[in-house]
Amino acid sequence: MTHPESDSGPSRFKTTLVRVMSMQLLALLLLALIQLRYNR
Amino acid sequence: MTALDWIIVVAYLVYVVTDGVRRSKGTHEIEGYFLANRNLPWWAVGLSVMATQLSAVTMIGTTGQGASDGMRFVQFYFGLPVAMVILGVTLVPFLHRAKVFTAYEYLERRFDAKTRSLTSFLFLISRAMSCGAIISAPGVVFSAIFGWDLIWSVALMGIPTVIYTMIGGVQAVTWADVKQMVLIVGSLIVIVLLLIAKLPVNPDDALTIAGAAGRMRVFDFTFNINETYTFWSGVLGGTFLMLSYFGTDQSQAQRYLTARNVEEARSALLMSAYWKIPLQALILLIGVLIFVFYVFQAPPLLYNPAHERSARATDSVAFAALESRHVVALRERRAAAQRLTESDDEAARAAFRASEATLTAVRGEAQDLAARATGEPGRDVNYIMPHFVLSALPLGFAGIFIAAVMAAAMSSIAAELNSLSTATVIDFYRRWFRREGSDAHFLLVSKIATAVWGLFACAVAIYAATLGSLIEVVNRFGSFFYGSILGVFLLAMIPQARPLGAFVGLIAGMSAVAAVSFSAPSVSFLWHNVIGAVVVVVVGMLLSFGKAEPAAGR
Repeated sequence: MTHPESDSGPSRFKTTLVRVMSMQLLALLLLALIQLRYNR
Repeated sequence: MTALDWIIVVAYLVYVVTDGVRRSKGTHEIEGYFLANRNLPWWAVGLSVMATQLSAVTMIGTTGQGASDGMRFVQFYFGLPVAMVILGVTLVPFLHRAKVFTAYEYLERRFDAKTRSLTSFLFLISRAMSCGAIISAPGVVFSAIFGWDLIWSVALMGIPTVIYTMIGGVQAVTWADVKQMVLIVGSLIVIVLLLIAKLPVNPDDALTIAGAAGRMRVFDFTFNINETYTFWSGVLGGTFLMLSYFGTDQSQAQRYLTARNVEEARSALLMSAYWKIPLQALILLIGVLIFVFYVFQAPPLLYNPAHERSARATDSVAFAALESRHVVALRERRAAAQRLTESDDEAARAAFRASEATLTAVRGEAQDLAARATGEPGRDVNYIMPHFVLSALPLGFAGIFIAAVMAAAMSSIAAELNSLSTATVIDFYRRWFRREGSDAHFLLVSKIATAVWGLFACAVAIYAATLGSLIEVVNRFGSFFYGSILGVFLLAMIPQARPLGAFVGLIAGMSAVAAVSFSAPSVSFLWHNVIGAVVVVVVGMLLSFGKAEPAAGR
């Protein structure tokens, strides 16, 4: 039922973490730019 | 609301119920009823996870919060992506491979029956209460807008949801969630586009006006445990809250237990990790744009029409005086906004801020008058969005929005009733009262449990209306237990942890949260989760290290 190759592991965790956090940092950066531009 | 709007609402309700009932075909055993035979695709599970979390409180309360307080509420979700990644490699594989029906079932295998029963019981109490708050949120607003008794608003959403959840089980819940999520996101996007089209200024000027009123402040880096919406509360407290909610709350755990395998369950959770913050920012942005819309279009003095009627009836002279001051303040604010769009300098911003402060003061006095007249909290944040939709959107769109609010409420209620029924039957009825029985018997009991919890939640909904800010009500119910339950699951993943440590740790965690809650009520509820989880793990491990052998049964 479970794919053995897709099980959790440190490398997979790191890859997912990096991918998710990169997307979030991008979103936060965008929000920060919006705040810098308009929150005056 | 026109006849067309009502036709849209009725068509939505009929479709959701008939489609849910249709999904019941082929569900003859409890594995199918509760877990869809663990065979749902990741994208459907992912949308169901998001739909379960996104309630009518988000549609009504968060947009109102965006209009009155700005974007900073988005910080509340900063811990969510981290929590999802952590869950993807910790609890999700544990629970999925254990082939359990409920997250708490796993705790009996790891610890003992009393830890399982206590955590499941706490889930039943807190989730049933919050389910009531989730029904009451739109119920109260619909009652005030349409002049109905609250009981009819609650029944309008509660009864169809109970019917399709009871008959169709998790299949009906999940596939309804998928369609409801499409309706919700679609209606939000349409509203943003309509708002931009309706504003008399361009989007850049609109955001400049919002920024001058403090609505564009997203980040607050002050470290203050009494403040809920700061960067640190969101990142630290929020991570613990999201770990607890998505990892240990059966209403969410049951979503990803229906996925085909661990990988698909992880992918389903990661959908929220990627999309929750952008979606939440979009919802808050709608509120911010509505604020700007009402800078140029005259809003009512009070957005809650029921409060307005009561305040006017109680003291018509005072209310009329406030209305006159409101008109003047609005005119001054509009003029200040106009000047701000012509020259974006500090003087123009200061003038706009001063006019906004005057207007806020007038509205504050009107809200106090309404509070005295009704005996209810005077805040009308949850009525800003409905007022905008019903008074400013073109024909048919109000119906779509009301259907979307119902969809948001029903998708959360359905998942919660489904999980309440699962925990009742699996963790209590089948565990303590009737271990053996046919699938037909357990299926019947499950359906009865769904109906009973549905009626209970509707009853709670009728009383939850007077509890204050609806957003906080929902989160507060859970925060008393959430952190401690997360602590028990964290202990479960530590090999040395023992049953006694888990059970006593759980009691100690809840006691600690209760002590903090009563002795230091100003501490934000987000930190309760951190306190609860840490106390459970520390106490649990101290007691476990005192014993000779680690627990068996993993």
